[in-house]
Amino acid sequence: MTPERWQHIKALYEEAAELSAAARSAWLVRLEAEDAALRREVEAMLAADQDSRFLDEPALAQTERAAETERRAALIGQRLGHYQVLSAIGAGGMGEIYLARDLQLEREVALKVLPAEFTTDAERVRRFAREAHAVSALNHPNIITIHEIGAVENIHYIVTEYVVGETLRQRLMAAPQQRLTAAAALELAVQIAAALVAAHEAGITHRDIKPENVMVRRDGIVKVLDFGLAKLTEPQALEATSNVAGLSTESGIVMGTPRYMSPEQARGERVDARTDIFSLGGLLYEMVAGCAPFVSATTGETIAAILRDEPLPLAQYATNSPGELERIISQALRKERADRYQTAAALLADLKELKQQLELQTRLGEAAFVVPPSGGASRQPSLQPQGGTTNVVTTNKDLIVLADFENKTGEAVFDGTLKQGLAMQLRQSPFLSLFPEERVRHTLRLMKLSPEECVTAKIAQEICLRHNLKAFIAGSIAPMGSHYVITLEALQGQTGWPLETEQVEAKSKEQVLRALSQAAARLRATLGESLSSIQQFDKELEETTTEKLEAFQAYALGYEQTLNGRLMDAIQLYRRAVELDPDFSYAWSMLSIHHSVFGRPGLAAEYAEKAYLLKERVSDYEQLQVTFRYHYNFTGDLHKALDAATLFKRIYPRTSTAPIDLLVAYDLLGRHEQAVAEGREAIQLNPNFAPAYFYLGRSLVRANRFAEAKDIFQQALAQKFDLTNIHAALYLIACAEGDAAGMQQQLDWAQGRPDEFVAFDWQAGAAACAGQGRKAQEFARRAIDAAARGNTQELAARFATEQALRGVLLEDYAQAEADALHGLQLARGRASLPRAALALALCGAAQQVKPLIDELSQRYPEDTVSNTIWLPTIRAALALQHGDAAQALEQLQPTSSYEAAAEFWPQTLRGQAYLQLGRGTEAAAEFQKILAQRGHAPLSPLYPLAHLGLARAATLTGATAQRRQAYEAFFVLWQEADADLPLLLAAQREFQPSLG
Amino acid sequence: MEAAPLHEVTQLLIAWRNGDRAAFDQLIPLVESDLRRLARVRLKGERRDHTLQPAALVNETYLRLINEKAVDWQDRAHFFAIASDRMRDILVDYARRRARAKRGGQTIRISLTDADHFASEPLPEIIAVDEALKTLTAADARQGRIVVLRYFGGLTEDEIAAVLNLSARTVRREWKSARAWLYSQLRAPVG
Repeated sequence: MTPERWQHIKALYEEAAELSAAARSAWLVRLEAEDAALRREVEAMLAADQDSRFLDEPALAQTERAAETERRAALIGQRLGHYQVLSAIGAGGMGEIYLARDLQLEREVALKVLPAEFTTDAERVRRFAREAHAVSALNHPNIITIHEIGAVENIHYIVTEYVVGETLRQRLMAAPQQRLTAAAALELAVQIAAALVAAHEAGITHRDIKPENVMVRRDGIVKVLDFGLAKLTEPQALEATSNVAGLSTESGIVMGTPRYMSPEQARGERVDARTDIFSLGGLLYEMVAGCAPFVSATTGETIAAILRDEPLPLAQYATNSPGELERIISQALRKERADRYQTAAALLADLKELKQQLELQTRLGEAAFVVPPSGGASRQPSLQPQGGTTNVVTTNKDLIVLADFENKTGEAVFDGTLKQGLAMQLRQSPFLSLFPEERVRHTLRLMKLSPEECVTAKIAQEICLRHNLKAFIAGSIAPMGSHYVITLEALQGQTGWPLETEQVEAKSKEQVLRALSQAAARLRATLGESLSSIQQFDKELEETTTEKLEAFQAYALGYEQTLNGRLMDAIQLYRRAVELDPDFSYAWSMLSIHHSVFGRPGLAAEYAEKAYLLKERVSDYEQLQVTFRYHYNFTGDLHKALDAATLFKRIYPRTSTAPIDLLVAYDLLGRHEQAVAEGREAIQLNPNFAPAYFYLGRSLVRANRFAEAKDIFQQALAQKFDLTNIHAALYLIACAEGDAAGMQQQLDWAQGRPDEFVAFDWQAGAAACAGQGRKAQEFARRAIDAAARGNTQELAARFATEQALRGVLLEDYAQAEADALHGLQLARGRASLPRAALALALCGAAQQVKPLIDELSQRYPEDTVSNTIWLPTIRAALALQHGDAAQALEQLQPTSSYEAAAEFWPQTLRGQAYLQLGRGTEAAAEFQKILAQRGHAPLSPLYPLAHLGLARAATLTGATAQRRQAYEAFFVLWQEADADLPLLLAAQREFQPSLG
Repeated sequence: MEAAPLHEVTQLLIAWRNGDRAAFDQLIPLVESDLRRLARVRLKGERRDHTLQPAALVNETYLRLINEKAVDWQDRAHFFAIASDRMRDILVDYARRRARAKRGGQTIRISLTDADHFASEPLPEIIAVDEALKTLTAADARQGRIVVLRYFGGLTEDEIAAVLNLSARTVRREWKSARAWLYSQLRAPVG
């Protein structure tokens, strides 16, 4: 091609390129006539218009892409260590990620290859691996589990659990306008924050929180990836280089996107946990707004924005995002870390609070009502006291005392009934709160009166004076011909002056309850409750309880007995109430609660369901409780139970039962801190409610805070709350602390009581824990027989199956199998079925286990504890019996977030599986967990055995000092064990083979 | 290999302008190593979600020089010419070796430390552009230069305009017809 010809072609091309398509064809036809070759050449050039991408990308970028594709393809099908690389599944924060198969454990894993740049410094790699393992070992449901960090021929890789799902980035890209609703964003943010809380508590900062490092599983569970990895990628002298350029290409390392960096990171300063809080704030902003808070065309400008700018208000993007969300985000995004949330836990608490609020709004329908702000007074005009000069206003901070009704009719059916009816009626108000009955009785005692003393108006006023309460209500019923007149009077607590009087007439005895309801509603209004609140929460007594006055009376008398602590008598009365009216939901509910206390979970569940099926017939207040109990006692779905209790507390923030409901659910879910907080709140709301002390103390035990637990129990005993459960808990603590005198003290207390046999069970547990098999068996036998004789078959079955599990541990398999079968004969319930199945599985009686598994899953399909703990654990035990440790580990995966209620079994089986696989470090981690959480099951023999497990793990890893320590700790705990226990003999041989 | 300190490159450029021929000899290996390093880092593709595009990364090196007030236009133009040429050599060489490796069907050991050892798809387009570009450059040297600066050097049209002392419009027009012609050479149906 000569230069002249080229200039000619170029000129023709430029001329043609200017033309429209139609003109161009005609033009080409003319050119063809002139020079056919020229036409072909120009036409071929014009075709370039069709492919705008041709040469658009510079050669370097093209090469890079090709190289990358090759590199990814090159590993596929190869083996790295014992991993077979199957396919590329993406690129994460750093390095390529592959789906691989672990050939040893026969499972799919995610394998990330680290670029060589970041792995040249062996010390850095070690430090990173240590952090990453430490975080993974937290076993947090929102932190990805790392299986291995390894290297083969200089290829460093991280192997993690394989999570089926998408990154948060992918989820955002797929969302309309790349953003989520506030509720969806909170759902994810809460989980990310939870992961940070756990990691920060372990002293580890993520440093690179961004959408690419957050996986969202299909079921919505979030897994945070790459903890500690940022340490590898940061320039070495990050602390030293304080200029912005130090972060980009200066050292040849391109940092990741700076969008989520904290200001201190951008400045190259040393960072702490608060950097993650900033990044999470940015992430949350992006989820809701659809774009990151600080984003600019270039790296430098973005960094400048992080250091200098305030993000645009969220409302600019999402008009309906809650103001509270904006506040939370801006507190997380403060430039100065001292101005931010100081801990991830504080951020998490606010996120959760908001999330619950949004959920509540959704559920109740936003228009329905506004929850009264605690301490606020959004009410009708205040009432004027008659004849008084002071303006007495009840706000929802005030508690009201109910005096007993004055019964001027001479008809016994009204005794106690009307006060109880009024209490139930007023209880549905989220605005008014009654001074709890337990506190009334406590005060009566302080006044040197009998707790069962009739609370006259005079006494009611004295109670008000003692507690500085503003009002009390006195009622009376009087005959008027064949009619009745009911009078309700609200009086000033300090002066006794009348505030308001309501009088209603009932034409017959049958209409008394309805009349009482009407009077109560009117009183609520005059006491300052808003009409909308009354309308929302006002069902008449008759429709929410029973139309039969006798049934109601039986219930009211039963309640009286409950308050008096005569639970057996109370049961009789509630039973009579449901006999008179089988649709009386409240009475079923009380029966459920009482049977639960008496160790009959089967009956408790049955009655909880009955109450729940009648829930349309109760007040909202009761409905929330009934729903909680239905899930807690009947379906076993702890998450639904938690939801119900949360809602209950939200609407009735001052009832002390709501925090207790929350506490028991939190406890089983292993959220002890929250449980403890709820327990303290319950006591604050009602310091005279005995069970609150027991539950709080038990939560403290479970959280391993024995000293605080003892303190709470002592407070309860000082108030004469002599609950058997409290003594049982004190026995457990004494045993865990090796306090023989303390143990004896509780045994002495139990002696001669009607439920004395429970102490046999305590002793069976303590004996087994000390390796005394024969003693354990003997006490268990006595406990089982006594419980069976006492008509508590379910309790007996539980004792028997627990003993079966002890038998397995002490290797008395024949006896264990017999105990398990005996337990099943006594009762097949939530407590006995899983324990019997597990014991039988561990005895090697696999054929007997299968039907039990089926029964468990069919009878309790929604039970959280059964599904997440027992079934996986039983299956894992079967797998272990088959010698399939890998399978056992696989089975145990779902248990990891629920192990607080698992009595150490999943950790033990996992530890055993790792031992079988020769993976000492991981085995040790499992046994350590048990040792760190004794409170979960203080008498479990698995606790001493965890020392033995640890010793064996240390043997595998060659940690000599740790091995010796662990064996010695075990021998100390078992110093009084049966000397001929095979397990003990084996341990002694292992420890000092020369003596064996 | 460490990056050449910027001031060193600048000083060599100044020395060279002032008539020090030896400075130029020192300058080239420095720039070349810088480019190779960049190419190596990029070719390993250690990250995909980076905010900096590779072209921008290269440009950044260039821009550091553009903003050096001490170096005059002539020197910079010369520098970009050299740098783009070197980048062309590096990438074409890389593409050819990929092609050979592929043809030879040798088993290549996997290593992540050196991108050069990977079995690869050939990068035929880069080789073909390189070949066709020789013809174009013979016919129109300035247009050939524009292609080298843009395609191999990764410069934008505005930067090319500044470097070659042309209007941006001219650069755009010249690039358009060059691209069209290259397209006709690489993509047009044979015959």
